[in-house]
Amino acid sequence: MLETQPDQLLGMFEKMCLIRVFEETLIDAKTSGEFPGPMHPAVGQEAVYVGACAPLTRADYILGTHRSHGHPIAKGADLNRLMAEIFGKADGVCGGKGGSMHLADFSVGVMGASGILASQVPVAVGLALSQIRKQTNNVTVVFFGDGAAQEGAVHEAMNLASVWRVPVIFICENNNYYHSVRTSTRSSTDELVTRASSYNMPGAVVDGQDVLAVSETVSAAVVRARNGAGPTFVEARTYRFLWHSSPEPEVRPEEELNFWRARDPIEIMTRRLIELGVADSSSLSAIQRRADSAVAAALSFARKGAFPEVGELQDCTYG
Amino acid sequence: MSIASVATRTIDYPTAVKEALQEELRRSSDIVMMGHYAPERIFGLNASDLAVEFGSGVFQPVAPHELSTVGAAVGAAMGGLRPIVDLYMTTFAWYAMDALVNQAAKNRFLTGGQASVPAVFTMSLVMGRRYGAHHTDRSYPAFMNIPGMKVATASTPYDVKGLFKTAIRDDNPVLFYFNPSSKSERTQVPPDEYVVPFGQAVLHRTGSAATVVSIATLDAALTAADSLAKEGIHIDVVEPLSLKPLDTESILSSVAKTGHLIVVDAAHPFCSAASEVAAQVAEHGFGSLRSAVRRITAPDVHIPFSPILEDAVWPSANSIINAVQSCLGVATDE
Repeated sequence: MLETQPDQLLGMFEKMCLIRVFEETLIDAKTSGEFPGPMHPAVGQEAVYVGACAPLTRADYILGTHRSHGHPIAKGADLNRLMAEIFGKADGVCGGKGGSMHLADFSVGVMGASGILASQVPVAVGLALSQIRKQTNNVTVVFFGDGAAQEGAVHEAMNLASVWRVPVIFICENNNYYHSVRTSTRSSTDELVTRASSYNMPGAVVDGQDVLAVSETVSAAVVRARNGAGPTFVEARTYRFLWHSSPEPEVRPEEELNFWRARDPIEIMTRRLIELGVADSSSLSAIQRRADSAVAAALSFARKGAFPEVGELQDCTYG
Repeated sequence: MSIASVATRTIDYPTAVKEALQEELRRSSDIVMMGHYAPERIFGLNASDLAVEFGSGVFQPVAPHELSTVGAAVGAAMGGLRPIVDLYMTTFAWYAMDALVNQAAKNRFLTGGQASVPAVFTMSLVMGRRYGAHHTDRSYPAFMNIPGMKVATASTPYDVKGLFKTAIRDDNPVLFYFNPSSKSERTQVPPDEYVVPFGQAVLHRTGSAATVVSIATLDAALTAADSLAKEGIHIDVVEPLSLKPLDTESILSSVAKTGHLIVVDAAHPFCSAASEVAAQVAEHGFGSLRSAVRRITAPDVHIPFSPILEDAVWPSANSIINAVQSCLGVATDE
């Protein structure tokens, strides 16, 4: 059992609530046409995001995917500036230049996110290289999905990470689908963790709906990495409760949906916290309300912010 | 524009590249070099003694997996290192396109300036070596079209040493193409450190009859210039060095003097570097032109193997001579 302090447990719970409300708020705002471009909601996957970031410090790096609102939230980025970025405002973390799929906040080690499947995975290996060459004890955690795991970039990156023995942790968020395609129908294996041994690194599979299990598994990988033992591959089995990008007719089987919705990570953690005697339902409700307020404040911040000046267009192309 | 002046040592192109590396390694402990062959064969030279001076850790081992080599170099650069990656031949870079375009070129911009990617990717241009179509690409025009990249190539020891140092010091991703001239030009370097900045073309020959801008084609351009000079026709031979940023000002001031522009480029014609030079002069120097801009490039075909065929594709001194004479209304040998 993880030696986690109550405040850390409650912190994980709060972060999952923040991500959930953030996504739901954005879905409503998107429905009313309040912000441009696509968004990719992570509802249902919060435990993977929060559990994987729980063992990290501010100085550790993460890199995310097209579905990466939750990763910066889990890492402690400013909610207001994340929301503003999604709204294309000048106060956004990337000055409005990146948007939903490119949230980056270097002040908390959020080194960006990729709209292209797996494009970020080799970059993570390089970030981890910089961490050992600069003699820090820091690590890099890179997230990618089961669809992205089919890209050559992931295979190459795993090989390279192993050769270089760098402190990178590969988190494969296996939600069984990319877009509406069931990945197992187009992958040589269902069990992506088996690829870890091909690249000479330890692999672990974990229940992605259980934030404590994810935290414990990733924590072990982080300790290995900090001790110079190199990379680990973690397959977190999870599920996307909603759609890929925009609401569309559901093609996934009813029984499957029901199975996974009964495994809501926030409900699982709620029960666990009460069982452990760390909180009762009223203190958890208070945390939920705090999350609601924080997101409401972020929404207000994003709505009020100014758009960037067109004159800023050339900035940040070269340095 | 600059012309080589005070100089005291004669060196060759590989030595120039190595001296640039050595000097920059002494300046910065963040540099890390990668190439999938041994250090005895990287950047077109034997660099193994750099491991002696700076430690073997200065080389980070990679195998042929260019996509992840480049991606990792981007990450390393974002994390504060200064990677110099030899991709060996232009054509091997195609494997790395996603990492070059979606990561290297875009990260500063899409993070709103948080990311910096001070990485140099080197490649050798392979021409006339009978290596066949796969090995003989000239990719610089493709990369010139991507915002956020810098692109440069040098032909002489003096220029490659100074330009490569600039590339290594630049905080943006740079694609650097090695392409040594077989002529003994600008082989002398000063005793002290110097740099050749980006955005500064070099004038190899001077004259007022015509402007020949030469991109990766210096041998043909100089042969043509020296042959024309014997006939009393003196031309400017301008080599841009950095293609992006491009020293348009020097080209325009040459054309203002000569009135005729011939752009010679080893790439294929569509959207070549020559096309960009021609377009910029047409837009900004139209009034100077007394004849239409001409481009002399490889044709729009892949590079064949059979020597008779390969030799026919590269811009030749004769084609440049004919173009100059044609601009001047002189009878040609065509």
